[in-house]
Amino acid sequence: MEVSLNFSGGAELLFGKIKQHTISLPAEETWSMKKLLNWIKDNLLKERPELFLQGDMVRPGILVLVNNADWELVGQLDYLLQNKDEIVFISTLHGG
Amino acid sequence: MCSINEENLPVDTMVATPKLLFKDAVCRRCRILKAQVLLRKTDPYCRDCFMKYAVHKFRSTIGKARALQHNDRVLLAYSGGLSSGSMIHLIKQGLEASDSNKMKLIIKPSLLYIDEGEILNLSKEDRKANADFVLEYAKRNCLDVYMCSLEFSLAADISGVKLQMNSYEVEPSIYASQLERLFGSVKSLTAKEDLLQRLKQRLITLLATHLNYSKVFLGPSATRLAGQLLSAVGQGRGAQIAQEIGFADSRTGVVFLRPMREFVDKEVAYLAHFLEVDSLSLPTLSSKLGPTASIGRLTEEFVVTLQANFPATISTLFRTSDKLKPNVGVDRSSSEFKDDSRCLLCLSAIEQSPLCSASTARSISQTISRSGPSGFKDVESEPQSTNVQQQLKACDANCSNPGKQCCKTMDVGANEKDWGVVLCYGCRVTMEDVKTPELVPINLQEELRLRSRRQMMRQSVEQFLL
Repeated sequence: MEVSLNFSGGAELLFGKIKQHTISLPAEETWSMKKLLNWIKDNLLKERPELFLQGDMVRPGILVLVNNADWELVGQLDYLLQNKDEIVFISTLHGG
Repeated sequence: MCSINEENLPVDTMVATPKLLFKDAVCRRCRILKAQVLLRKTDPYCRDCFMKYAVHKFRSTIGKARALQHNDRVLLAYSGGLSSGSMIHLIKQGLEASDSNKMKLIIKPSLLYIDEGEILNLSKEDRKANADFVLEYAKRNCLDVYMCSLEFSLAADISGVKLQMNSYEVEPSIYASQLERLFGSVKSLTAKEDLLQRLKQRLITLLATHLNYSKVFLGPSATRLAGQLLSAVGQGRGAQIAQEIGFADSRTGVVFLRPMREFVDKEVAYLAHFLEVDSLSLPTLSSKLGPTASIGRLTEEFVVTLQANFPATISTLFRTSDKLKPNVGVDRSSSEFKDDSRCLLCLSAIEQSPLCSASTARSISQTISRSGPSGFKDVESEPQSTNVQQQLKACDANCSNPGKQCCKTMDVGANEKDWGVVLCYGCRVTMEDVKTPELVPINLQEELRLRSRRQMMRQSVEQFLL
């Protein structure tokens, strides 16, 4: 299963300054957003995880869009990822 | 919020709104399309309706202040970030709006980019890459861009500033190392951030005046301003809130306008996403640092976290700040006097502290606690009197104004205490953390002499006035 991740507004500073990531996840499992966040933390996040995640959630001040829609409108942490989904993380905090 | 807490309810019950109430909701405006945006936790909008709402809000922010006239030349301060990027997109849209539309913006904009790379320790390549991004951005939007480096804020006047148009080269200058030394000598991050803001303001004013622009658009969002509002209070700039946070700031002679001030960060992020605004990954002084790194960082963290659960936080802060007005006891009748009572760094009016004021109380308690139980008696009187005696001795007999107000008495002895004459309380607090104040572009000696001379002249003339 292929999912594209995009980090902007300063969030990319925590991911080695790379904005666009395309990741492939094992398709036999079901992937919720919660699981994806953990996966990002273990595999992509380069430093300071507390500046991206707070508990299970994304830190306040970082907006998450799933296929151009706010993730709160599609189920937030319980949303189940589909093939070719586009997830965008936009940090609105000053300096990322 | 507060009244609920008075009942001693556990904190959980305050935030226990059922989550995801709006899963798969339709837009509340057109009631047809599926919502893509959720504002204030309660208002789902589709993309088109959100954009209409945002454009309307942007133009009404500008329109209702009546700050712009037709064909005004406006400098748009662009940092490379999402907020100022969205601002420029919205302005471009406004310029291109059809003629029949009454909301059409009729202004002549250019971009201004200030390269802060020097104090962020960016490499020359990084700075060049950032500048190229900005150049490309300006080209795509068919706007001219003026580029300047932050170190030139230390130049005494415009003749020392290297301003480039539609091109950028990072060149070493005497100011670069001066700026590096200045920032290296600042003890706290709070003071650094404050100093950066003042220097940037100084440079933008200098450039705008030189280029003959009377108005500058800045891009801070409501969330950022709400954080600044709280940190301004924390840093002793309470009297300046109206200017620092409000839509228009006219302290410098050039009018700074903040057209993004009605957008909270979530709206800015949506806007940037839908308008496909590309942004620079620009670090700031506090990037990747914890929430207690500086006062500004802490207040931002506070506002953002509170806003996540209580969407009215920012608007409450704003409505309160809009009602605040400075109560400065300054006689604004004579222009000379006005100049004399302005802070040299931030150009705000300096509060004339009466005998009993919070700042006097603070300085007294500071003197006492610094000198300790034994040293207290001497501290107050000694240094001043010996200073004056030495100066009096040095004074020649042919001094035009012998005695207490000898010309030389006023010239010598610019020390820390004198900052009070030329700086406001907030800037004084910042300058206390700067170890090398001589690097700041203020000619303290000169200014002190000027100010005290004017003061004397006023006093002597006063007797003849009816």
